[in-house]
Amino acid sequence: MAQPDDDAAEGDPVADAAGHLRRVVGVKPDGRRISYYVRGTADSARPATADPDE
Amino acid sequence: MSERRYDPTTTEWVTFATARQDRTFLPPDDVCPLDPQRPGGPPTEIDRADFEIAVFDNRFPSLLPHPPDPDPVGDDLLQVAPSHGRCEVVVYTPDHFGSLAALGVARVRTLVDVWRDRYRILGAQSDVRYVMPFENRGAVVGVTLSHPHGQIYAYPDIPPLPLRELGVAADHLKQTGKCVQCDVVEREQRQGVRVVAESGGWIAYVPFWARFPYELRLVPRAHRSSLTALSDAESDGLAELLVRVLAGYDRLFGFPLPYVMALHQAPTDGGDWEAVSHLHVELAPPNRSADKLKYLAGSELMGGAFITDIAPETTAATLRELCR
Repeated sequence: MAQPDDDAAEGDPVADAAGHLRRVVGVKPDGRRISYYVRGTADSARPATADPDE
Repeated sequence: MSERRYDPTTTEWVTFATARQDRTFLPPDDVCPLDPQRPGGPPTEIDRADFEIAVFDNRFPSLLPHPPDPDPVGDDLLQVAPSHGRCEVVVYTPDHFGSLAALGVARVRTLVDVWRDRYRILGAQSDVRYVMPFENRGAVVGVTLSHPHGQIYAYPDIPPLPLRELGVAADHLKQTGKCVQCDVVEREQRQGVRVVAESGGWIAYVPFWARFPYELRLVPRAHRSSLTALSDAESDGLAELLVRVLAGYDRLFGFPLPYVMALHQAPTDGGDWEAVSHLHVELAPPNRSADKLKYLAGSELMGGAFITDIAPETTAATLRELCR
């Protein structure tokens, strides 16, 4: 059974593991996920979990 | 129809994704689905413009997180399986025109970080055993959208070519105690005649065995099994080297050179690949001259035996001048 692709909720800024990027996730009307990446980590971005499935 | 079928004569799987027959094919520039949505404009995949790189699930995927049951046509010999996996599109920039090289080192450095983040996220899925970022550039290699973009496939098993490389690396390790990619890099560095450029711990060379005249391999000199093992300086080096060689490609014949590019790295199946996986980037441009392509025909397609028209030392010398 497939796991959720990652632990990011829609609109929830997440930093990548190295702390170089900020990622904001959106969900398309048909359910597909999209991640928007920008360089730098905003204060509001929480660190990515070590295991995205947890 | 979305399923995988097993070839018992080669032990390879083939994926069937018939919905892809209807995918968007070379739309006009003003209705590109990878452009940010404009007010009053046609709908696109991208609903905001304040990003540097966007990654989304492919609308026409070959591999799916929740695939349908396969057709009940298989048996114990002719096996059929669900097409588990992921197919993602990586949009390099909101700008419709341009190329990976033209984005500059800073943006390509961000792309390296995005590749690493997707490797971590996709590779953590229980049904994903291999994550391969790649880019097809140019209509002659089958690109259907001209907007600068790449893709990432997350496979349910290790694809045949990386699997073969890993098997050979395991044999070499057993026989010599060393990584075959490390050995080749050391030999290329010592001979020098096929080296095209170096940067930040990375080396770019035309392989001794190049199957395409202007083929390139970008490899970290130190043994690194995947993107997650790179230092910040090595990630900088990869970005700088990619921009240099891709810009050199575009100077080769005076037009944007078509190519297929892919990253090979450690599988994500939980196995211990550290010693035998050596991260590298493969670049295969189909042109053998400005107006002639290298086609995969009888010997290559049916025999798997490549025949190359130009010596690697010759093309390396040309590319070396162009990639300074």
